[in-house]
This record gives sequence, C-alpha cells and structure tokens, in this order.
Amino acid sequence: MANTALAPAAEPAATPSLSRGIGWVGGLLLVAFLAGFPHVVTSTYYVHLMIVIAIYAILILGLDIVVGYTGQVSLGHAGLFGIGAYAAAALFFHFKIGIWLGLVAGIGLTAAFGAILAVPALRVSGPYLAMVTLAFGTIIQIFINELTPITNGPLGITLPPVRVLDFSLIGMQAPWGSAGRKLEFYYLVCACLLATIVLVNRVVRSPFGRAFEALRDSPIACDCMGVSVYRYKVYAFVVSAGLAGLAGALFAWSERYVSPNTYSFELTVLFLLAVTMGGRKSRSGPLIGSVIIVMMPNILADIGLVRIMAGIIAAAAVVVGAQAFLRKRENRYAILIPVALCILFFPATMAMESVTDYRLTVFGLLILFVVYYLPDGIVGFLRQMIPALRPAHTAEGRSVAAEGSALIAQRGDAGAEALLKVDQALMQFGGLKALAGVDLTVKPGTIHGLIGPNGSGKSTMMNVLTGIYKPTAGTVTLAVAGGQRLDGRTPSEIALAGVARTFQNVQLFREMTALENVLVGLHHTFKGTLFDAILGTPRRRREEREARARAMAILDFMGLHALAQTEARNLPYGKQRLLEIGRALALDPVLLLLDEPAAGLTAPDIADLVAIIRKIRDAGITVILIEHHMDVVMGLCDRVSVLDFGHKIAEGGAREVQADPKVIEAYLGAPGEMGGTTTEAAHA
Amino acid sequence: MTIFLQLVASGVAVGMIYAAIAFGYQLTFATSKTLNFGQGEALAVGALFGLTLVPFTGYWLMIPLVLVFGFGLGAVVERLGVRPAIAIKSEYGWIMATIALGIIFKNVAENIWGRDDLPFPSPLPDAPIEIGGVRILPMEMLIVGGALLMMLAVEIFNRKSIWGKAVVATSNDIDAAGLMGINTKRVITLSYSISAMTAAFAGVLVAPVTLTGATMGSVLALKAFAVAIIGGLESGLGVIVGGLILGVAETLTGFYISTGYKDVPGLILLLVVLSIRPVGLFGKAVIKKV
Amino acid sequence: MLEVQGLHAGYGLVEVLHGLTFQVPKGQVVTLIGSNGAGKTTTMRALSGMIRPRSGTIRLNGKDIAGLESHDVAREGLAHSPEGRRVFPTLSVEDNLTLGAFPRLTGSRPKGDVAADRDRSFALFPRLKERRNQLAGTLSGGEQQMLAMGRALMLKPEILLLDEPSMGLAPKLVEEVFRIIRQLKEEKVTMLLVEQFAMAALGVADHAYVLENGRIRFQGPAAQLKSDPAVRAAYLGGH
Repeated sequence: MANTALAPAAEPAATPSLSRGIGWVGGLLLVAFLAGFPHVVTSTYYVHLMIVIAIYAILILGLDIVVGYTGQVSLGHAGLFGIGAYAAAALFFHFKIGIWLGLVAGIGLTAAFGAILAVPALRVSGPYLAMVTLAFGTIIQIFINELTPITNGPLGITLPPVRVLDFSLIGMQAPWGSAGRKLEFYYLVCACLLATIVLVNRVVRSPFGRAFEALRDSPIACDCMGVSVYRYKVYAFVVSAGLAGLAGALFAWSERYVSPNTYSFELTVLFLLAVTMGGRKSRSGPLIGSVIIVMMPNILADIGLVRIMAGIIAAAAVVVGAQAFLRKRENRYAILIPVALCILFFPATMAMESVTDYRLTVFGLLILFVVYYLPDGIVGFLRQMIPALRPAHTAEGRSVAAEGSALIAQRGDAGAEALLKVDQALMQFGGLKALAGVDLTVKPGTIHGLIGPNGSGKSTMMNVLTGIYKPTAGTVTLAVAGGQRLDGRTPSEIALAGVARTFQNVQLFREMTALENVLVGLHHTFKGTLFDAILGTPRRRREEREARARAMAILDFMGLHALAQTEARNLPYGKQRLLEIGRALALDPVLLLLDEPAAGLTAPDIADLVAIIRKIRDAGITVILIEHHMDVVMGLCDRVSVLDFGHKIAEGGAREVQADPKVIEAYLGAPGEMGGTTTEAAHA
Repeated sequence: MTIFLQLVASGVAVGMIYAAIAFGYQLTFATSKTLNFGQGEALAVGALFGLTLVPFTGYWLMIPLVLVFGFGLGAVVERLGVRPAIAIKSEYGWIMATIALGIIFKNVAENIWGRDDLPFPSPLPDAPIEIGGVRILPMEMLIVGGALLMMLAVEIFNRKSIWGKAVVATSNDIDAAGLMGINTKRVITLSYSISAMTAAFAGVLVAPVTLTGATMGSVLALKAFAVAIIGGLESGLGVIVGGLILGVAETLTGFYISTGYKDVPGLILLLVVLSIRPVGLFGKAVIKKV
Repeated sequence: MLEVQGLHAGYGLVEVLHGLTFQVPKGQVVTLIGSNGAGKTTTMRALSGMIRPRSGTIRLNGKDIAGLESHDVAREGLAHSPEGRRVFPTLSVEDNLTLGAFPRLTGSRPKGDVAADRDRSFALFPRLKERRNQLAGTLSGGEQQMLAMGRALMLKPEILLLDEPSMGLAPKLVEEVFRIIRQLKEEKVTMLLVEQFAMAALGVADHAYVLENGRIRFQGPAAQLKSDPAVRAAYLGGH
C-alpha cells in the first residue's frame, strides 16, 4: 500500500511591512557594526581579516546572481576575480596608477570579460555551462601566468600600501590623524560592500532580477513571452563579473601582492561553498558564507578551537536529534545520518593533532553536507524556522492596489475576415508528417476549438503557431498591422506581435510569486535600462508602480487577488493554470492560445475556467482552445476544427462536429472493427 | 617535416589519454545524464595506488588490481555523490558533490603520498623506436594500444553480455529499461564503476611518461571535457576523433608557440564548439517537446 | 489474477486517478477505454511501477505490488508494453527481445528456454524475423509495436499490459496488431488492454471499463458495450 501526500502548501510569507522593517534594521546594524568594528577590535590582523571578508562578500553577492538567481553553476569566478586583481595591479605596475582608477579598471575590464564569457554560455546550461565557466577560468589563469610582459607572470606584482585619499593634493592634513589614515582603506571597502548590497537589491527586484529567475525556472516560457533568454544571461554574467572585478581590484590593494596561482579552481569552489552554505537569493547569505570561508582556515589551524567547535556542533546535533525524536517528527529517521556525522566529528577531532593538512577535506565534507542537508543554506534554514525572516517579495513592501483595466485587447486589422489564417501548414519530422497540409481560419472575437485524438497534430499546430517549430511548408498570417507572416519567426517575435499562449505542462516561474509571474508577462512595458534599475531613477520607480497596479488588476480578473504574494509552486493546481493564463494576458495579446487548460482540473475549477475564458472573449481577445474535455469544448467554442493524423477532418459548430461520423470514427475507431472480422477500416 | 610528424605522433598518444577519460564521461552521462567532475582525481588516485603496488607486483600484475580499485572508487562516488542528487533531481547537487569528492580524494592522496610529484617506473624500455624517421617511445605505443583495447573491451561488454545490453538499454530509455526488470539504479552504479576504472587505467598508462602526483589529473580531466563535448556526450567513436584532434593541436601549440600555452587550444576548442553547436560535433540535436 | 482497489495516482500536484477498482481475471482480456486525459496511461504506469500510486492496492495473484519500483514489478510477472512503444533504438531486434527476458537471464524469474521463446516470437511476428539484426530504431511504427509486444511476452508474464498499441499506426497496421492480440487471446494470455479506439478494443476484449476523468463511469461485457451510445458520450461529451 503506497501513500504519498500531495505537496503541502508552505507557510505564507511574513507581512511585507514586517519584513521590510527587519531588512532596514539588519542594514542599520550592519552599518553600525562595520563602522565601529575597527575601534573596538584594534588589532590590525583582525581588521585585515574583516577587509577580506568584506571583499569576498562583494564577489559572492555577485556570484549569487548567477548561481542563486539564474540558477547556473559557475566554476570560473576565481578567474574573474583574478582579472579584477590584475587589472588594478598591472595599472600600478606599468603606469603607477593608484586605487581609484584601479577600481574602475577592475570593474570595467572584468565586466567586459563577463560579456565575453556569456557568449559560449548562452546556449548551454547545467553541466555544459559549468564546463564552459571552468574552461574560462583555467584559460584566464594560464594567460595571467604566461603574459609576462603585462602581468609579470609567476613572479607576481607587489603593490605599495594603498593611498586612498591624498590630502596633500589640497594642501591639508588628514582630519582623522595617522591612525585614522590606516583605516581609510577599510572604510573604502565597507563603502563598496554597502554599495554592492544596495546595487544587488535594486537589480534583483527590478525586471532584470525577475528575468534572471524566469530564465532559470522556464526558458521556454521566457521565449514565448518576449523575454530574451540570451540577453538576460549576458546581463547576469556582466553584473556578476563587474562585482567580481571590484572585489579583485580591492583584493589586490588589500593583499598588496598578486600572483597567478591564487585565482585557482579551489578558490572558485570556496566561493561556491560560501554562497550555498550562506544561502542563495539573499544578501545576508553571502555575508555569512564569506565569514565562514575566511574564518575557517584560521579556526582549523588551531586544534583547540576545532575541538571546541566540534563539541558545540555535536551538542547542537544531539539537541536537534533528540527534539525530532521526542516530537515524533516525520523526518526523524532521515536526519539520523547527519546528526550521527556531526556527533562523530567530535571524537575524531580529539584523536587528531592537527587538521590543517586536511583543510580541503573538511571543505569537501562541508560541501557534501550543505548540498544534501542544507540546500537553502543557513539563511534558508533560518527562514524556514522563523517566518518573520521570509522575504517580503514586494520591493517596496507596500501591498499594491489594482488599477486600470486588466485586459487591454489589441485590435486586429479592422474589417479583417480572419484574424489568423493558416494555409496548408506542413510539419514534417523525418518521415513523419505531424501536420499534412492543414488550413485553419480563425475569426476575430471568437473562441475556436481544436480537437482530435492523440497524435492528431494539435500540439504540433500549437507549436507551429507560436514559433517553437518552423513549418516545413505553408504560411501562418496574423491580421495585425496590415497582416504579418508568423511562420519562420521566433517565439519571442510572435509573442510581441500579439500571440500569447499557455502550456500543456504548466510552465510557471515556480520560485516567484503570482504577482511576479504576471510582472514578467508585463516585461514588454518596461523601457528602462540596467542603469535605471541600479540607480533607482524616477522612471524606473514609475514603471514599476504602474506595472504592479496592472498586474494586480489582472490577478483580480483571474480571481487570484488573495494569492498575489504566494510562490507559484505553492499554489493549488487549478490556480496555477489560471495564473498561467493571467500571465499570458499581460502580453496584451490579440490572440490567446490555450493548450489543454482544463487537464487535471476538478469540476469547480473547470467552471471557473470556463467563466474566465468567456470573459476574455467578451473583452475582445480571440481564443484558440485545444482541449480533450469535450463538455468544455462544446460549451465554449463558437467553432471547432477536428484534426486526425495531421489532417483536418471536420469543422463547424460544436454540435455539428460532435455528431459527425468521421469525428466519431477518429476517436472511437471504425465500426467495421467490431466482431473480429478484418474489414478495411475507412478513415478519412 | 620530421619534427612535425614527431609532434603528431606524441599528440596521438596524449590524445588517446584524453579519449580514454572522455570515454568514461560518456559512460555515465549516457545512463544517468550526470558525470564525475572529479574524474581527474580518480585518475590520479588510481595512478598513485598503482605506484604503491608496482614494487610488489611489477607493472603488469598491478593493472588488474588498479582496475578493481577504480571499480570500487566509482561505486563510492556514485553512492555518495550522485545517487542522492538524482533522487532529488538536483543538477547543482551532483556537480558540487562530485567536485567535493574529488577535492577530498586529492587532499587525502596528498597526505598519503605527499605533495611532490613522483616518478613512475616504466614497464617498457625508454629507448625510442624509429619508424619512418619518427622516434616513438614504446610507452607511447602502449598508451595508444592500451586505451584502444580498453574502449574495445567495454564495447564488447556492451554488445555481448546481458548486463552490457542492460547498460545500453538504460542509456536509450531509462523508463523502458525498468519495465524490462532492469534495476536501473544498479546500472548507473555499474556505469560509474566502469568509468572510474577506465580513469584509473588511464592513470597508470600515462604515469610512466609524466610525473605522478595528486594533481596530475585535474587539467587532464578538464581537457577531456573538451574531447567529450567535441565527440558528443552520447556517442562512442567521436571521442577518439576528438582526442586525436586535441592531442595533436596541443603538441603543435606547445612546440610552435610556447609550452605554457599548450593547454589553451583544448579549452578554446571547448568554448568554440559549445558556442556554435551546443550538443557537440557528433551529438544529436534534440527536438523540443512542449 | 489482477485486482485493483481504490487506486489513486497522479503527477505532482495533480491527482489523475480518483479511486479505480477493477479486475482482470486469469486468461481473459480486459480493456480500459476512454478519451484522452481520462487516465488510461496513468493507470498503466501506476500498475507497472513507473509512477507511485498515492493510495490503493494492486494485487497480482494475491500479492500487493502497489508502490514497487518498475523492475520489481516486472520480476513479479507483470509485463508492460508502454505507450509509444519505446523499443531500444540502438539495440538490434534480437537484443530487444532478449532484454525482455532479463529477469529470467539474471535469476529473478524461472529461466526456461529463452532461445525457444525467441523463436516463438519470430513465428508470431514474421516481419521481425526478417529484421532480426536490424537496429530497432530503424523499424517502422508497426514493426516497433510488434517488437514491443514481443519483448513484453519474452518475460513469460503472468499478465501483459498493452498501452495504446494502435497509437500513430495506419488503419491496416491497427488491424494486424489486433489480429495478433486475438491470437494471444486464443493462447489464453491474460491481458489488460488500454485503447483510445473503443471499437477495436471492444472487438477483442471479454470485459470493458469506461474511464472518464479518472473514474470508472461504467463497465460491462465488451459485446454489450459495443452498441451502447453511452460509450460515445464518454468520448465526445453530450450526456
């Protein structure tokens, strides 16, 4: 007897204002901490350590954009770090240029390399992308090592103490004295860190950040919504690289020495460990991760400290394990292994004299532990435990009121007989004709059904109409802007021309909220650039406000108002289907294609769906509906076309088609096959 | 001209090592759509293990022991690193987990065998043989022969034995293979075992002509990625072609340009191929189904 | 032989089967018919272990196999010729057949005479015999369907599941496939047949269940249902 529960709905996020409040408080605490730290802990060693932590954090925040938001593994960030470092170091080495231009060079050059890296990375993902980034990082290291005239090769470049502010230029003494002078660099690094946090915040909460997440969750849906997967991948790499370059340039001046073998694969893995262990898609995660990877070698060097930490970890594991068992939590046997491992760690450290030689093994074990038991990192774990820490999901933290009309129907050419005309569409895959010359005429303002048994070509037709397949022959014409050909154009172009679709297997952006999903559909309304987003210009803020109001209006229309802040993956299935339709409507389409929207829905959900489709038609949008649910088709469609084996075998009103003997035979088989005689089956 | 041919001959030997490692990637990618990012470490550990055995068993008897060792190592990698990730459908999971295991193996190896590179006793005389004016090391011929023999052996296994056919079936269609009564999880473990075994074997083949150490495998494995991509992660013969292209390109670059840059052509080739044809030169394009 | 009680199954958040109960008596052919989306293939997958049922029991000769993985279900003697055929394209016809007997060759089922069974397959499907060394991926749709059925039979199964054997086949080939099914019926092979083409399925089955939206709407002897207008309504609506 098998019993698998359906996915439970997750706890709702905190109220926006509370989360925003916590965000502000956290930010202020960080500023206060950073400002006061060097005055409380005066040892230069620890101030330097804090500088390194901050520098790494800058890079890791940038890495989070690629790993956390676009969801790709980048194994080349140490290479980008190296470019930034060498840009600053080489500028000094050859031209005696100091830190300020060094930073600019670091950011600029590395961002350019990020764009170059994006080129081979555009069309690949997953392990292939990992290999591309790994190859890239290795090439960088080789070139740094070999281009001795520029980089001084394996000897490296030594830099003098950094001069941040040169008061002698204006004929003054530093107001904060010589002790303060030593801290100028520290405060510069802190300022850069804070600026990075603000920048990353602005980017991820802008259409750019949403596009990054969208291309992780469903590149196909992005294509069909006019959001260019390539373009946003490039942006993600460029921003991430720019930040790595900033970190690199700061690092060069902080360590005062650069050499090629620092920027190795091991360093990249360390950065990945930091972003994963800290927690992706957060600002505090990279900070926590950075602290861990910087402090870890120091802790591991002191066996006494290691034993204390191991003891603490073992004690914590005992508590967590005991708690799970006493409360009879469901996963108590599953966590037995990590608990046992944590406990065993303690006697192991007692037995060893020194762990430094096994430092990398400890890191490797940490990676394994994090990957399997802490996939959302420490921050993710805390967020699960403490609802108040969950992100607000709305940038401004204010709940938005719906405004304006939800549906803005574009009109097709006035007086056009047919909004969509398909002429002899042929789709051939090798020897198989999925569509064998199909004509289709869809009148404006109607709901047109497309039905047929399995393998009849309905989905193929859908994919031809939306540009996922280029038809082998035949034309598809849309009566908009004087009539335009759709065949041969990309899904993105077709979407922006006014044809929106939903998918047979729901292609929502699972980790984004309902509101954010619709906002991605509204992407075509955003005219601002990346700089608008980073600087938070009035144009950006206005566009965002208007888009949110419109998105809420659409959610209202679909009856999803209350679920605006719920992540798409936590919505009940019926609501997910409706959300997908809402997102498609955000494109302001003239034609909406629905691919089996009723599949898997319960009867009440189906009633909702039918009502909404009618409202959509009443607003002036033409609908093509592929469906198996005959009652839905018969009840809704003005006209129905029936496909079988790639041919159109019938067309007409719903009742007509239902009684057509050819259609009955297509679905049920020829009556001649009854009774075991082998008569020739008469298919159309 | 003889120098050119000389370089080509050495390039062929190097290329066959890449092909052998890439072959290992194909084995696991075909059945599970995953591969071992720590394959280089499997190679290195295999070579070091072989180095320890050689004084007791001699080169030739050491080989089957290293094969068994590699077989076991592959099973460990699969169980600890890959199987849990497949179960939770996490790509990031197996990539990071196999990287982590590779790091652990390398670190442990450094502690056992030390950080210095060690020389590996060659089973064949060092004197080069002259063929048509080109001097070839007997060991290089062993590398080419050994790599080809190993790939042939696996191919025969796949074609003739029932478990080999089960591996091919799993690569073709994992669900249908399950319906046949094939325990596809065990097949995946088997493919990882064979994959690590080939890496370890490649390790003891290449060790006599280079230095043996914990880091010997990293760059080899990365360049083998390039070969696997060029050859297509699913098909068999392409890796040999890819390996030869890469090996020869490298030796030519090393001589005519500079030894420091000899690793670059392979990596650039990887980037170029993936930019133009993401499924590799020999790979099959996938028809999208929505 | 096969008793299914209260089967609930689905994918992710969606439940497709809402409590199916049906039986396949030994030596008989039972068919599940219904239009697309009714849940026919989901039922087959739940039976053969390709998906895990949410709840319910599946008893094969008394043993509950619900929740077992597909390779274990095959070892219990349930052979599934899946939707879309899914032969192994880079293996030969002969190797495909041999793999059908995998549990017999690796000790999980009584071995018997595999070579003789292979010859029997070739006798049943002469077209396959002509192409025995050809790669299965180069066969036509109809030939692949024969191969999928022959492969499933190589298990010497207690019960054979046939999932939409007519899909994508031209009418003449559909006839041939059903002729073979009739032949197997004469040899008393217990079969569960899932078909979209109700007429053909009803022509060969003993008993039929009509599926609609994941539930059994009604059932009855196949001969009776052939002339029942309710069957048409289950496909094309209007009831």
